[in-house]
Formats: sequence, C-alpha cells, structure tokens
Amino acid sequence: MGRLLSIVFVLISYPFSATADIAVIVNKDNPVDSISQRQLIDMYMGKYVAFPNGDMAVTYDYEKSHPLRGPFFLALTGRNESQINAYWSRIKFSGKVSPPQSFSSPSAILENVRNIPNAIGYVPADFVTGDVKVIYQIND
Amino acid sequence: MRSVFICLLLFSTTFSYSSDIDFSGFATLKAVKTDSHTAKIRETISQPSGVTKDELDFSFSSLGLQAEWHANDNVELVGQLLLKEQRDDRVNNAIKLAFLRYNLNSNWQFRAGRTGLDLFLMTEYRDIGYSMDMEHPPVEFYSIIPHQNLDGVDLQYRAPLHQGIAGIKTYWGRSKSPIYSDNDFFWNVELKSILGVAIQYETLNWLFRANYTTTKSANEHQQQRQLRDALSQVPLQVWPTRNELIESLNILDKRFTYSAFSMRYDDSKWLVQSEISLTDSNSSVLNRLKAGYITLGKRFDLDTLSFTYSLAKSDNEERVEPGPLVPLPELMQIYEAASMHSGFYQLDQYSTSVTWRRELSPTLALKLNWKHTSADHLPSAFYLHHIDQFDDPDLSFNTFTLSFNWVF
Repeated sequence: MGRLLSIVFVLISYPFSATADIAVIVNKDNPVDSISQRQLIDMYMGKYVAFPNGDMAVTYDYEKSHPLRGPFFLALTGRNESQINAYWSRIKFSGKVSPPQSFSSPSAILENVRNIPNAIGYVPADFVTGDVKVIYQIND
Repeated sequence: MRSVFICLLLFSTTFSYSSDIDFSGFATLKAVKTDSHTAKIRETISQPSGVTKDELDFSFSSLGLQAEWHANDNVELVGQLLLKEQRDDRVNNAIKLAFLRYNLNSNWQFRAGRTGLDLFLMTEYRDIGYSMDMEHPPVEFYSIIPHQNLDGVDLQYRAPLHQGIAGIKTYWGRSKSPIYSDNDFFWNVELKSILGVAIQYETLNWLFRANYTTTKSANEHQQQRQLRDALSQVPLQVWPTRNELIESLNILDKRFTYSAFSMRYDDSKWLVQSEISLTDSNSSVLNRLKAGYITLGKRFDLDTLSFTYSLAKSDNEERVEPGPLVPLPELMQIYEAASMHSGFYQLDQYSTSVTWRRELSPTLALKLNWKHTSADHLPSAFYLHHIDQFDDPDLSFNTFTLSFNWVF
C-alpha cells in the first residue's frame, strides 16, 4: 500500500518542461514562406491540414513522451500536453482525423522534412540547417 | 455489414504487406457504486447489467485498440476494437471502426465502412473516458440512444473562414445496437436508411454544431409481433380502438428523427459545454423525447472541477388509453403488455453531478464523480431494476464513480 501511494505521489508530482526556442520548418522547395499562429493551430489540431496556399500538408510531431511536444503545444495553443492528448483522443479515436505522424527525435523530423515536399514539422531552433525553411518561430 | 467485412478484409491484408501501421489505444478502469435499492445503474441501455446497491462494480471498464494504415497522403484505413462487457453479438459489437478514409484534398473527405454515428457531440467518443472532463457523458442525454456506429458512407467538406473552420458532413447507412431491459429483454435494434447532416463551426476555443438525422426501424422484437397477433384476435366490440393500437405498436419501417444543437467553449481554464436534442418517431413507442445538459468546468493546473446538470423528458404515456371495455384477465394481460411497450420510453428525470479530474500524467487521468438522480417514476428505460422493489421505488438516488483513464 505504501509503495502504491509513493507511485501515485510521483505521478501527481510530474513536472512540465520549460520552453526552448522552437522553429517550425518546411521543405526548402515549399512555396510557403510564413504561416500564422491560427493556421498552425488548425494544422496541428487536425482542424484544417493545409498550407495557406491550400496545398495539403503532412504534419510531423513527436512521440507522446518527447520533451519538446508539451512546450510546443503550450506555446502554440495555451494548452498543456494532457489537454492536447485529450483533444486528440476525441478526434482520433472517433475516426474523424488521423493525428500527425510521430517521430522520436528532431533529426528524424529534419530528415523527413528535407525529403517530403509537403511536410511540416518543428525542431529546436538550433537544430535548423540550411536545407529546410523556417516559416514560424516560437521564442522562449 | 458487407462494407465492414470488406474493410476488415482490406485491413487484414495490409497487415500482411505493410509494417507502416500506427497502433494506439485507450482504456478505462472504472468502479461504480450506488445507493439505489430499486435501480440497477448503467450508463447506456445497451449495457446488459447494472450496478446494484451494496456492490462495487467494475463491469463499466473497457479497452480500445486502434490501428491505422496510411497507404499514401490521401488514403488511410482505420480499424478499432472496443472490448467491454457484452452479452450478445459480441464480435459485431466489438468492431467500433473499420473504414477507408479518402482525403480528396484539404477540403473534402470521404469515408466508407463502419464509422462513428455523428448524432450528437460526444456520440462517437463516449467510450473514451480520457477524452472528456466529465466522468461519462450525461445519462439523460446519451444513454437512451444506443447506436454509435454507421455501416455506410459519409462525405465531409471543411473550409477555413475568417475566424474559424466551418464544416458540413452528410452520411448514409445502417446501424445495429443491442437494447437490454428487465426480465431478460434483449433486442438487437436495427436502423436502416440512416440519412443525416451535421454542420459545425469551430475556433480554438469555440465549437457550435447542429445535426439532423432521419432513419427507419429495420426490425422489431418478437414480443411486439406476438402482442399485435394477440390484439388482432380481440373482437372490436370488446376493444374498439384495437386497430389503432395494433398500428401504433407496429415499429417496422417507422421513421425516427434526431435533432440536436451543441456548443462547447474551452479556453484551457474554463469549460462550458451544452447540448439540446429532440428525438421523435411516427410510432407510439417513442414520442418526442427532449433532452439537454449543461456542463461548467474550471481547470486548476492539473485538476479540473466540473458540474453537470442534465435532464430528459418524453411525451410517452404510462398506459395505453383506452383499454378493453371488458376487464377479462386475458385482455388485461394484453393491456399491460401493450402499456409496457408503449411506455418503455416514458422518461422524466434529471441529474446533477460533480466530477473531479486529476491529470496523473499527460496520458493518464483519475476521475471521481458523484451524481444525484431524481426520477419521476421507476421502472425507467435508463436502468435495470430490482423488480420486487416497484411497490416502493426510491425515486432519488446517488451514484459514485472512480475511474482511471489512459490513452497509449
């Protein structure tokens, strides 16, 4: 019983990560140069997954446990990761929308954005290389 | 059902040829307790059993498993199994989703197979405890309509407007769902020619939604047929309204309509959600069922406290009037049976409930709920009952629920 209470205490006390500079990136050949916060929210909340020019987008996200995911959604939407997961469980498990493809690392997202013309992802700002295009920046 | 089978066949084929499948799921571990000595509490009329007084019940728990295969940017296959307490038609009821989704472009989406039935705001995700701040969808609003799935097709159009996203969806198909009642009553209710339209407008914080759905009953319970046969044997002189009663008890091909308006506001600190609905039919079995609820919630970091008030009232009469002119025992037996079928959806009750939700991690939530229910009468279609308590029913009772809700 004591061990169970300890586990519950640890679970209740879990911290949220701090925000770092985050860059939203697209393929170098993507004609889009910038995106508004609302358009980015619509894409990452599965409401309307398209670039401002109307082209369909392929959104990339991180696996649920990744430390960048919570800060990104908190800065973008004002909602913590639990609220985002609850929202996505509503629309994903009801079959309305497929969630973004999830990756385990920024380098995996970078690699895919380099190769997929209509991809969009986010990485720590200091991960950005010259062969992708930054269209939105979240500053610490 | 054929479309579901085809979808499953396609889905199983993908397992053979592709490893690019996303697996995910959700689970609820739930304990329920009540102080009612008359009602056996349940959350939907498709639950075969209910919680009785002095027992702690875990049969509300469930596990959902979902697989999605992305053939390309436009085509996806989705399958979902929901494992929970079932008594009949288990395999069919366990298959919650099995459909092909085709995104023509960013505006148009087409789906075929078994999808969710988009009747009300939460119909499609009412089994996913983690997805909602309340412990479970309001019983008065969601319990009485068991159908959650559509075997058919739907077409959706979405477009960005100045402030938000507007969408319209139309759907067509069939649905089947079990209904359980007292005395081992079981009916696998089939709906055919389901045709509906849902209009939605949403921003980050606001969601407004309206729905209208029409359908026809595709089958009837054998008791209804036997009752009509028995009534047809009764002389008109003894029961002058016999023919009208026979017709009103005939549910086959009768039209049912569902209308609803829903709204949700969630700015991450405050939550307001409300729905109103009208369910009607051109049969005496279900007559103008009006339901609604409002939920107010406040978030405190990892905690959410919400309050819900919900109610349901129908125009169904308790008794068939007029009855036979001669009170012979055999006629009175038929009269009682006819009254039971006509009065099945006679509902008039409201509930107030408080839910505390605690985020134990970004994928695990604990919920505690206390609900107080006041019913105009028992028996009620919402519940199962201790039949020997009908002489002294408790029309006011409490239900306590503790649940752990995961997504993975």
